[in-house]
Order: sequence, then structure tokens, then C-alpha cells
Amino acid sequence: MRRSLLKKTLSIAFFLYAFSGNAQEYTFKNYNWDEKLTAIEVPEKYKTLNEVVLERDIKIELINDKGAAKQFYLLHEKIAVNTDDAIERNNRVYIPHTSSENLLVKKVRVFLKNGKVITFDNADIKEETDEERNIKYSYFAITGLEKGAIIEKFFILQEDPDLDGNSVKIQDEYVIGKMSFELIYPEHLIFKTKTYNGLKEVTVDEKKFESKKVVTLTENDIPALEKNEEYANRNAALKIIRYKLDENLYNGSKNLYNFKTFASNIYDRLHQPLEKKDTKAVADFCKTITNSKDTKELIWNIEDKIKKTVAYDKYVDNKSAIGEIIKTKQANQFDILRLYVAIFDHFKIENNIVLTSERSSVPFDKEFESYENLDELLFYFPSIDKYMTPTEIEYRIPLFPAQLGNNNGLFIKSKEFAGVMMAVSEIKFITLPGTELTTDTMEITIDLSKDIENPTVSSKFSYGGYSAMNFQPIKDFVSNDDYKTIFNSVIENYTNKKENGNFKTANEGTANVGKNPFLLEFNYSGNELVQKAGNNYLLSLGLVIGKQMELYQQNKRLLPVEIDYPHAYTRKIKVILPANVDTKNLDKINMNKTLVLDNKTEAQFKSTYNKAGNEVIIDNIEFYNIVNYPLDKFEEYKTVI
Amino acid sequence: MNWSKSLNNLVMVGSVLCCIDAYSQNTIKEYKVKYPDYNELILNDIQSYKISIEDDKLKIFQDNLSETMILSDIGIHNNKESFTHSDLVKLVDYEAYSVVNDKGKEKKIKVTQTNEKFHDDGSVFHSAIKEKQVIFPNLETGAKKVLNYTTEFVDPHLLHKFVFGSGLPIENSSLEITTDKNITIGYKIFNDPENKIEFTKTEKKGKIHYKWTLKDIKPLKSEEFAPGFLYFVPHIDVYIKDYTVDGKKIDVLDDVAKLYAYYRGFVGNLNKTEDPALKALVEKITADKTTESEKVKSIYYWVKDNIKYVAFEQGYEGFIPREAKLVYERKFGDCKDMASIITAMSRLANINNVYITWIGTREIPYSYSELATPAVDDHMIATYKRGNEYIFLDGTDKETEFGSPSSFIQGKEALVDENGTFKVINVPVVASAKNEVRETLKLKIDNDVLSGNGTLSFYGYNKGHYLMQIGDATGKTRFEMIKSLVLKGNNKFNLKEYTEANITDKDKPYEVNYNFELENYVLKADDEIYVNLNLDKAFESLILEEDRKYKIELDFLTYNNANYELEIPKGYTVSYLPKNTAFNNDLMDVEITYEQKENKIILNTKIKIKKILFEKNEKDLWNQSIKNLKKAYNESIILKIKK
Repeated sequence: MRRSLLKKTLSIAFFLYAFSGNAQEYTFKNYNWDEKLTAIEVPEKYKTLNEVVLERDIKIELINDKGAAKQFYLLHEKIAVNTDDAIERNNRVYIPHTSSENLLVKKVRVFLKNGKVITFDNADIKEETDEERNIKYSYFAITGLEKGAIIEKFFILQEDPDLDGNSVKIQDEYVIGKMSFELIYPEHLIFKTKTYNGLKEVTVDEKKFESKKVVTLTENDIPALEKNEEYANRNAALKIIRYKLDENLYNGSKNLYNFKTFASNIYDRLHQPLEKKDTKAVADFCKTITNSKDTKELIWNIEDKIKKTVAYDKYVDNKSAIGEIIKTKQANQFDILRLYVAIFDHFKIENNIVLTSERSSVPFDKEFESYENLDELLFYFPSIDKYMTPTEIEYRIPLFPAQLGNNNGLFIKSKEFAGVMMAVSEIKFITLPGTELTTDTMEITIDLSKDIENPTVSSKFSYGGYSAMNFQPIKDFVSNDDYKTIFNSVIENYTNKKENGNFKTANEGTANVGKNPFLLEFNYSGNELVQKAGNNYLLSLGLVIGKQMELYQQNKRLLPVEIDYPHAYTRKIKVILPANVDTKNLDKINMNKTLVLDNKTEAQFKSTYNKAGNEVIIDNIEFYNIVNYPLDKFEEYKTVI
Repeated sequence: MNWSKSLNNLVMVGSVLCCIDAYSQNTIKEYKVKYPDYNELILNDIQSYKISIEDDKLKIFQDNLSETMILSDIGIHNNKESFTHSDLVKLVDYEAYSVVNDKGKEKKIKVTQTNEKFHDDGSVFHSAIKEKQVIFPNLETGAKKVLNYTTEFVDPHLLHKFVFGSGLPIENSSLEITTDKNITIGYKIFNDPENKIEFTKTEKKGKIHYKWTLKDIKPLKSEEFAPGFLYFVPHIDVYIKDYTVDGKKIDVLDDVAKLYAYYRGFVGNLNKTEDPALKALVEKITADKTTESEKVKSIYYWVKDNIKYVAFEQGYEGFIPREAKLVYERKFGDCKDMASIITAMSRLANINNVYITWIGTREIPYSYSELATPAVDDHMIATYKRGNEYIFLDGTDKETEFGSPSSFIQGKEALVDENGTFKVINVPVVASAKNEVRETLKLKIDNDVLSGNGTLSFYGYNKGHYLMQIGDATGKTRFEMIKSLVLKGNNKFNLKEYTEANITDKDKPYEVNYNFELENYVLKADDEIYVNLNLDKAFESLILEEDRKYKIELDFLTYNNANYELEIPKGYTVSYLPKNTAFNNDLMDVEITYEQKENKIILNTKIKIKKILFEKNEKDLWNQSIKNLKKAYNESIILKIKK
């Protein structure tokens, strides 16, 4: 796996001085599975499970090989498969690694119920390379699998060292019977470790191997954490262990791979003085950007210009200079940052580079400075307190991928010290735009006055902030025909019928993202809303606001609620009745459900009605002000939604 | 399902050529007027074969040219193109460059970054098909991406089809073939009802030059329920009929007999030796079976249950079934391997009328009489000839019962290898009655809450369809899946308990027994109760769009048969019972009846779908049928307090 270009250079620089001395062997070089093993007993308690990891051993060892760091990774596991699906989840094995890494040992055997043991022939292993991402795959299909079989796998990989922060999952989608993790390294090094989500602390053994230390963690009967809960951040709830190199006693270096060093390093690389021709290229490029006295508007213009001129691609080759980026109109992570920084400098816009991670893939821990958390990029503008994504082409300030918000980030800004500009960094919380921006407003009129069995319905929807992101950019990316198809299916959710382009949209395209709400209007015959029952008519109001989400009803909720972003709905439904028609059951409309946290109403669903003459007006608000709701508030959350 | 995936998959929509035709050089301005809502346009998509004889053998090269123009700022992000090559279609050479406007002049900028990757086709585990990716630099509105590559075809039977179409508009698309005079080609054009494809055939310097051109091609549209794109996109299948060396004519392809002769080469030596272990297995699983049919069935079910689908298709592996012995040891294989082991196991049971069979899945529209090339087939099954009846055995389809073909080959032609001679047999479309969803439900109203208990039984393809989705899910996940399967009324549906039956028994329907409560459904007003008994409004949202472009294809025919019984609450009497509904047309047969029997109201709903593939002009009849259904679904019963 190609590491981010931002980090690559740094890691290499650090190996050299973190290690020196004589070559060493890794301790599990002669590790083997039990050659004589003829059967594996499945404990009674696991026998009814579809799939269970009976044992999983992971060993990671760092050694000093003639002054260079080398890492070896061992995986040894036994998995029992008891259903067809379990077989199909396990019968294809892929071992990905970078092209500089080597698969040294690969052994697989299968223990069948009838006592037969089938050992896999390594000649059947295939290899493929993905040059784009610099990944090599060794892959094969396990032969002879049957229900009730146990697969034993054992691999050793020689890898690029992970010194700057790595997480190992100790919990899985399936029960793990016995889990053992070992991190082995030369005694002159000190690694920092941290365990999460109820996992016990590690132990450090200094005696097991000569002049080596072993960090050990063993855990039994680890329950499965399934992937099935809506509005949950499963990765943040998984039991994991995180580690990184912290000290090197040989040279007395401490607090290695800290964020501060990372920040100043990246800052320096991004603020290299430009050559004359590059300064000119930047200035020429900036001439094509509409200037503005309003900082937000100027940033919006810069962002729009770059996203419409330069194709960002994580895997595109590095360019030698900024002029080359502008000329070839291509940039990878580092180059796109360089370009933005140079342009912000040109316009003298104060900015912070923010490095973070997707909150649902690698949760950011303020207390543990792991470079895993520095894969994603944002810019922060202190004077207007807003964020911008340099890489995602459909977003515009103040919107950025919600996965990067409600999360911590490493903020890097410039500060002058004795006439020299330097990096100052700190970890801060990235606040997502709230319900003032992300709104979903509906104005719906149901006119029953002309024909009570065939009311006309007119719907006017307005979407702001993240709610708009679902629709607004589409126009730029698809043809008119496809646009029509997409919105026909959007409005079908409300009208319950296939319309043929019977809608209007306004403020479409990225030109409006972050600036104006997206508008959608459509009219339709609401005959589906009315049911005739003798001399009475039943009007189902719920249909006009679309299909609603219903959460799990009775199973116990395991994880706290985490939503994508704060958002609010405002709905106004006007029902025009024919003269001489009476209403019944209107009081069913009155509802008020709230979720209160620390004396603050953080989520609410409220609807009221007002009848005047032949009109009934229903007002409904619904909002979710924050992203995270504790598990003990789940019942309240459920009633609001 | 994979027999010649390697073949059909290479034919990507919007591939490529070699000699650039003189096309009218419009300016970017003119193109933007012509294609205002597109980010990119294909100017040229040209493929040309050069077929000659060298050293008494056919030599086949194919040049591919694609030239596209960026029409908007957004289009610059489409800066990658890729093409595939493999053991059977070898890459000879390629060139890629951007063309940009440099002060009014066209300037070529060579692509410097390329990546080789493996071609990931979800269903094939290992194909060894490589994908070459090129990344175009300097893109801006008006810039062009030009990709030009040459491949060599190793096997003259396996030329690619040429498709006039893409997701983008195309200005000019052509297929050219240049052959030596002593080579005869055949071709068949599909989906060009108005003969818009221009054809020329010229002879020059001892070479014959064929050319087909189509201009101004609108992009393909994605439509729900559309059949495979070969049903509607204009395309040509070309093949080599024969060639003459030293006065001797050598046949390649033309009719089914020649196709079969080619295929035979892949299976002629299959399973010539008996595997004792496999024989022992066959004896074991057929021991208590008395009839031939029962034996075949037990073998077929064993393969479905024990051989997992994993496809290795490098080069001719995509065509040659593996030995049954190996498949048995591995416990996995692709469609050909399953056909191999089913036929071999049958032979070990002394049944010699189970045959290897080539077939095209429903993605492919051709019959053998229209076209007899490997492009017709992408799948292999076994066929059991029971008397005069043919039973199709598809080991890749895990749930379908013995006697029914897999749903994705219904209505297709099968090429059956009956011990050295071939037969073309039609695979039937399975009648809706065999794929019944039968439902019985007993309902009660207590304090405004509707509650009920019932059984839902899935037969035939419906059984397979749902069981495949549910799989081995457990706990909460399974509960939610079952809930959505049995859901009634609205999203306040509260599933209380459920049990399932016959999950593993292929000959019995899959059954779910359940009970539930439903709040906010029954409406009480004064002395009346309104209840809509149509708790599951099947098909109501399946309305087809007015501007439908393509035919409508359903996976299989289905029959919904529901019987609901509502107990009239004590103290109430029926004041309104909706009218019955019945209609029967070419597409649908519907009968909805209400009946009061003692203290019960009985609703019977029977809906049969009658056509698996229908023309777009039949959509009105379909939509009208759905409208009629919806109207019936909208009716509520009224119960009134007895006075």
C-alpha cells in the first residue's frame, strides 16, 4: 500500500537515526505450526457459530539490519467455518503488500470433520500487481473446504516498518477465541502503546529474548462486533491496540514521531522559497482568479478555480516545481497543498493546514500522536472560522467532507520568530457546520378543494449545507437526460409514481455549493394520499414528506448513535379543504418528542396544527444539533427519529 | 457463469483504431453547442483488424484508436483511460498523448505516467487479464485525449464484437477489416433497424477492405429493468469463415457444426480416467436411490452444496473444463468445472445421458441460427436427458430445484454435447405458478392495534432469490432481514417472533412463520373503524417511465397468492366491503376478492406475472395494470359499532 507522500520522506529520515549497530535475526524466523497436529477441537461454546476465529496470533518484530530498520509480520490463525457463506467468506485469500515487501512464509492447511488434513500447495498461489497503488497481491483459493472445516493459515511478511503509529484490531466481526499480539523490538527502543474500548493494558517482557523487549497482549473470548447498526461508528468502538516508536536510548532521542516535528517538517517542505519562474507562474495563475474583498468569497473563487483547472489524484507523480503543477494541471496530495499554499500566500490569506483522518475509519486520539491520523487534508481560515477541502472537487467552502469533521485535527499555522517564519501546531477540534447551515425545508400544499379524491399537491423543497450536497453538484457531472432520471427517482420517494421530468430545480451545480440552497419543486396528483371509506375520506399526510427512517425496534442497541452531520428539517403543510367538509382526528398531528443532554434540547421532533376556515396548516420541526448521542439516550433518539 | 468471460468482457463499450479518418474538424465552440450538457465527447472510436496469412497460419492484428475531447472544466478530471490485454489478446504496442491548444496550434503532449494493473472483474477470481492505465496530462476544455494501441489475436475464433455506443456521445465510430484475398469473413449486424450503419467493401492491391461506420451516436442510457446492453446497442459480430492455404480451404466458423467442432477440442479429452475417491462418493450418495432421475438429482444437489464458485480463467482456462478429480479435491470451480464434475459423477453412476452443455446467459441476445461463434456463449452447464425431456443442471446456482434451469438462462438455447454429436435445445421459461409466494395471515384488531400471525412460503426462484440475500446472517441482522421480508402496512410494523423452515431442503418451499403488531394503521373515528386489508401492496411502485427507451426484462415470472382473514371485533359489524377486482391481459393476471364469512372478512389476492421480457410499447399495458392494482389497493373496509 502506497503511503501518503506527505509521510514517506519523514519515515525514511527517521529510520536512519533510530537504528544503528549490528544485524539481528527476527525471533520468529523458525516459527512453525505444529506439523504433527491431526485435529483441532472446537470448544463446545463455539460449535453453533457460523464462523469463529479459534486462535489468532499476530507478531510484529522490528530489527536492526545493518543500520536499517526491518519489520517482520507474522499471522497465524485458525478459523472454523460452519456455513456455506462462512466458507465463501474465507475460501479466497488475498495478501496485499507493497512491492518492496516480501511474503516469506505462506502456509495453509484445512482440517476436515472426517479427520482428513489437506495442506495447500504453494504452487497454486497467484500474484498480481497494481502499479497505480504500488500493491502486490499474493492470492489463492483454499482447496478442500467443507462445512465444519477449520482453516489454519500462517504467513510471515517482511514489511516496511511502521514506527510512526499503527493500530492492530483485536476484535472482529466474528468471535475470537484466543487472541495474542506481540510487538518485539530491540531493547534500546521504547514504544508507546495504548489500548482502546475496554481492552486490558499490555505487558512488557524484557526477559523473553536476549536484548529485546516484547509487548504482549492476550485476550480470550472476544465478542463479535457486527457491522449492522445504523448511525453508528463501529471502528471507534472496536477493541484495538495502537503503538508507535517513542524513544531511542542509543542516541537519547525522545518523543519520536510527534506531531510537532511532523508539522514543522511539512511546513518547511510546503514553504520552500519559489524560483522566479514559479513565482511568475503562480502570479499568472492568480490573475485568472476573481479577486474579492470578502475573504470567504475570495477563498471560494480560488477553490473553484483550482478545482476546475487542476486534476487532483493521490497517485499522480510528484512534480518538480509549482510551475509544473500549473502547466501539467495535475497534482497529488503534496502538490495540491503546495499550490494552495502558494496561492493563499499570493493573496495574503491567513490559513492553517489541517491534517486529520476519517472519523469512521481511524478515530483521532488527541493523547496518542499517531501518523495514521494525518492522512486527510483540510485548510482552516481563522479569520472567518471556516474549513475547505483541497481534494474533493464537488465541495466548496464552508463545506468539506463530513467524515473529516466532528473530529480532531492537527492544525499547522505560520508564526514569525525573530524574522523567520516557522510552523506552530496544535491539536484542535474540527467543528462541523451546524443546523444554521444544514437545513431541509419543505413547503407543501395539498389542495382538496376542487376534487377531494384527486387533490393537487405542490411541493417546494429547499436544501442547505450538507443536505444540499446530496443533490446540488449532480448537474455538473451528468447529462440532462441522466439528471432527469435521477430527479424523477428522487421525487418518486414523495409522489410514489414515475413522473416524467415534472420538476424544477434551481441553484444547481458546484457554482452554488456553499453559497445558495438547492431548490426542488414539483407538483403532482395526490390521489394516493386519499383513501375512500364509505362516505369518509382518509388523508395520509405522512406520504408527502417522503419515506421515513425507522430504527431497530426491539433488539438491544450496542453502540452509541453517531450521525453524519448536524441537520434540521422545517416542514409546513397546508391542506385546503373543500367547503362543507369536516375533519376528524386532527389531534393526532400534535406531537413533541425531545432528546435532552445536559439540560439542552439537542434533538427534537415537534408538530402542531392550526385550522382556520377551510385550511389546516401543519408546522413541523425536526433537528439534530450534535453528531454524537450517548447509548443511554438511544430510546429518546429513536422516538425523535 | 463464465465460460468465455474472457471473450465477452474484453468488448468494452466505447473501445477504440489505427488509421485516423479525415473527420470534420469542428471547433470546441461548435461541439459545446452540439453537446451542451456533456463534459466529454468521443470524436473517434475506431477499430481495425488486419488479417493475413503468414507461414500458413492466420495472423490477426487489431488497431484501436480512441480520441476524445474535454468539453468542460469538470471533464478535466476524467484524465485516465485504460485498456486490457491478456494471453489470448496480446499487447503489441501503444501510444497515448494529450493534444492541447498552444497559441492557436495543436500541440501533442505525451503521456508519461502509465500503470499496469490486473483487470478486476468481480466474478472471476483469476483471469490474468491486465489493464493498462494511462494518465493524460495538461487537460483543459478543448483538449483531446488520444489513445492508440495494437493487439494481436492468438485465436482466430475469438475476434471481438464491435459496439457502436458508449456512455458518452460519439461523433464517429467505425470498424474496419483488411484481409488477404484468400480469407473469407462473415459478419452479423444487430440493433440497426433503420440501416444507419454505412458499409463499404473495396478491393485494393490484393487486399479486401471492409468498413462499417456510424456517426452521431447518442449515449446509452441506464434504465431500470433493461435487458443486457447487447439487446439494444447497435453492434457487429465479425468472424473468420475460412482461409485457403496452398489451394486447401480451412474452415474456422460459420454454422453451429463448426462452432461445435471448435468447442469439442476443449472437452474431447475430459474425464477419461476414473477417480476412485469420486466413485466412492457417488456410490455413497446414490446408494439409496432407485431411479436414474433420483441418482442424477442427488449428484446435482451434492455439487450445488459442496462445490463453491471460484473461477480461474487464465487464457484457455476460460474454455477448458477441469478434470472432475481436481474439482472434487478442490471443492471449488467455475461453471465449466461444475459441469465437468456433474457429468463425470453421473457416468460413475453408470448414467451416460448427462452431457456437457454450452449456453449463453440472458445477457446475450443471440440464437445459434443468427450467429454461431463463441460470442453466443458465456456459460456452461450439464444437461440430463430423461427420456425425451431435457433437464438443465447448473451447478453455479445454489438454490434452484432439480427440474428447473437457473433463472439467468431461461428462454435461451443450449448447445448440448450428446456424446460426440450436438443438439440445440430451448431452455423453457419457468411458469409463474412454480415461483409462488404464498401467504396466509390471520388478523385481529385490539384497541386500535392490528395484530396477526401468518406464514409466508417462497417457491422456486423466489425461494432462491430471498435465501441468497439472507445467507447465514444471524441475530439482529437476520431479524431485520426477516422483518423486511414479512413487513406489512407501514414502518410501525413490529415483528414479534418468527421461525423459519426448509432452508436447506431444495425440494420444499422456504417458510417463515411470524406474528406481529401494527400500530397507527387502523383508524378509528367515532363509531367506525377503517382498515385497509391490502397490507402488502405488491408491485405498486413498479411503474415504468413514460419515455422508456429499452425493453423490459424481469428476472423471473412470479405469482403472489395471499389469503388474509380478519376477525371482526366484537360489537362491530361490516358497513363497507370493497368491490372485487379482476383483470387478465398479456402481462398480468389479477384477482382480488373480498368475502364475509361469519365473523371474518377474507381477502384473497392473486397476481400472476406472465411475460419475462416485453417490448417497450407494452409499457402502457403494464402501467395500466399497475394503476388498476393501486386502485384496488387503495380501498379500505369499514367496520361500524352495532346498534
